[in-house]
Amino acid sequence: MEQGDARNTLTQLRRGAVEYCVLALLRDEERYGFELVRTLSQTDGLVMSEGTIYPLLSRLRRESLVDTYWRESDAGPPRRYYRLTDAGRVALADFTAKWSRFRDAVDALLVQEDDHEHLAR
Amino acid sequence: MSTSHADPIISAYLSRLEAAMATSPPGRRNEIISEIRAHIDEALREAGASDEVTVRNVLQRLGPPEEIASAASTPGPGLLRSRGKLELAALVVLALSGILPIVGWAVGVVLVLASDAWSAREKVVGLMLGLVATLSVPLIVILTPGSGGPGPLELLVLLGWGVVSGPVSAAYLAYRLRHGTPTPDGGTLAGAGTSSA
Repeated sequence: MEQGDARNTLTQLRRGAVEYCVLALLRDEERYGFELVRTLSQTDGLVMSEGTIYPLLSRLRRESLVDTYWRESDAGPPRRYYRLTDAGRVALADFTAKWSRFRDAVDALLVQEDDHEHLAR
Repeated sequence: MSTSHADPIISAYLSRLEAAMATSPPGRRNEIISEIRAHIDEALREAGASDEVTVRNVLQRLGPPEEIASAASTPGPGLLRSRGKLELAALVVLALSGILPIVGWAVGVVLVLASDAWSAREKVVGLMLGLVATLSVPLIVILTPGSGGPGPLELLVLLGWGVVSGPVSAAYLAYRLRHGTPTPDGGTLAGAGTSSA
């Protein structure tokens, strides 16, 4: 697989999962945009252009999975905070279940392949 | 106390972003741009500096404006996208098509065909059910004894078409929406807010 293809695959995978990662980050606390972006960018394996999170947040808001409010900040101007809606919680729980099954299935197949390669050497 | 207004590199970046998002709805564009601007300010505050190198690093991490704009215009992958507005409109228009017969029906049909919540088969069945129901009106009139001569058949068909067919189609399509067509991944194409398998 060429470099370009590998990166494209990663992009596809990421595109599907990153919105649920955002929802997951909001499960236990409300956060503002910059916080979310920083946490995501510090997560190994989730490298992406930080700016693309903002259109994502905008879409999650349009789809009523999150809502936002302004909170005063000591550090500067008011910040836009994001929090999960009930629909967002349902979506996250649903995805979490689906993801576990999917991830286990893919892992199992990948491990099999790995074993075969070992034996071949 | 935002520095982003003063710095030419940042201004250039934001202008590029605004241009790249020219085709997005203005509300969405402004929302995203103001969030990005706030991000830049916060990042510079965190870095404790706003010299050119720092600014360029922040913008580098944000990514090209074109990429952000493209993320703003593509709809999500939608494992669990909320459906509903188009489908709701289709169902309401069909159910109320008696108020404006034929036209209401036609609009309802267009909306149903435009939606991807129903399979082609469901759409055909739903709309055919409606048309069949249309025929029931003149039939009932003809078969009812002593109805004193039905009016022109065409009028009755129109009446049936307007008043009966829309709601019948809507009822069937609503049922299909709620009880779902299984999708390949095991979920169901159900209305918004229904969690799938």
